[in-house]
Amino acid sequence: MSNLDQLAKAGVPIKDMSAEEKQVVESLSQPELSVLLEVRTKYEGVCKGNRPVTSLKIL
Amino acid sequence: MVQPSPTLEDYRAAGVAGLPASLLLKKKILLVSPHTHETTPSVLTHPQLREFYPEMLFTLYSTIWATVPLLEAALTVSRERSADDAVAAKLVPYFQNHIAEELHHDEWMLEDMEVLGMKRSEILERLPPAGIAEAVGAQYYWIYHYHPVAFLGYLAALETDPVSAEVVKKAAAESGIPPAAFRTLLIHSEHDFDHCEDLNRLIDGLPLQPQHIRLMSLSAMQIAAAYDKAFTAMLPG
Repeated sequence: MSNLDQLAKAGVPIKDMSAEEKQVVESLSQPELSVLLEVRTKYEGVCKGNRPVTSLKIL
Repeated sequence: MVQPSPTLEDYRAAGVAGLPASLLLKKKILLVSPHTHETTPSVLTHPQLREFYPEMLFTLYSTIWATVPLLEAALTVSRERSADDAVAAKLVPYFQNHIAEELHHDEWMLEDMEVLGMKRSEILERLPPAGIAEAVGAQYYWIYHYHPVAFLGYLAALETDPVSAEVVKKAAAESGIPPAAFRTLLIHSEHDFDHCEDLNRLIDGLPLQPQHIRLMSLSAMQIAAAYDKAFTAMLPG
């Protein structure tokens, strides 16, 4: 199963991803994909779909 | 002579082959933490900033107080490996210089929190968010048990694309929060652009192997994800 398939199966809305984002997703190793899956399936409270409503970048 | 960036031919996806390592790193950070995109409004523009600003500073402090000790650990291991590890050897001067740049930032943040009426003794006694401790603690594992290049990913996640000084100044002027409580954020907004350029130049000049790049990415994604979790819990619903 591809990385994108794993994201989609977990309920992450991949249809809004750009082609480049999808390429980067497919390049991820399994440990990286695990981190991505966790944050995108459990902790998207400040996001609307794939897109954030407020940047958390501070430092 | 500076070696060229790896072509990443070993990566499975042909679409990212040839990207400079620093750019690929940034794209992976954005995947796990899209909130950090430069076109997204800063959290400092949030209409309820005043409500969660003290908690936000504490979350940041929970990371900042570990920066210099982590840099010292990375420097120690890089020195130990430098005789037969070209990547580690090139990290030594960078970590040395960056320690000097990061000194006392934790103290500044403490003083900013005191401006808000928070008590220093209570701040120091309080347990940091577990997710932050987990991601920061992972850095020690990567540094000591795998390779100190991991810490560049952590720095890339925290120091690249900083909020602009204009945004910080506007928040200080309009949020109703005492402007002195923004001192540390303002200093970072004015200096992290330079830190970012230095870091990207270093990363792209290192003789990296694919496993180094994957390690930096994982390290960056871990701390970016930890920040997302902590901030998601902090922001008003």
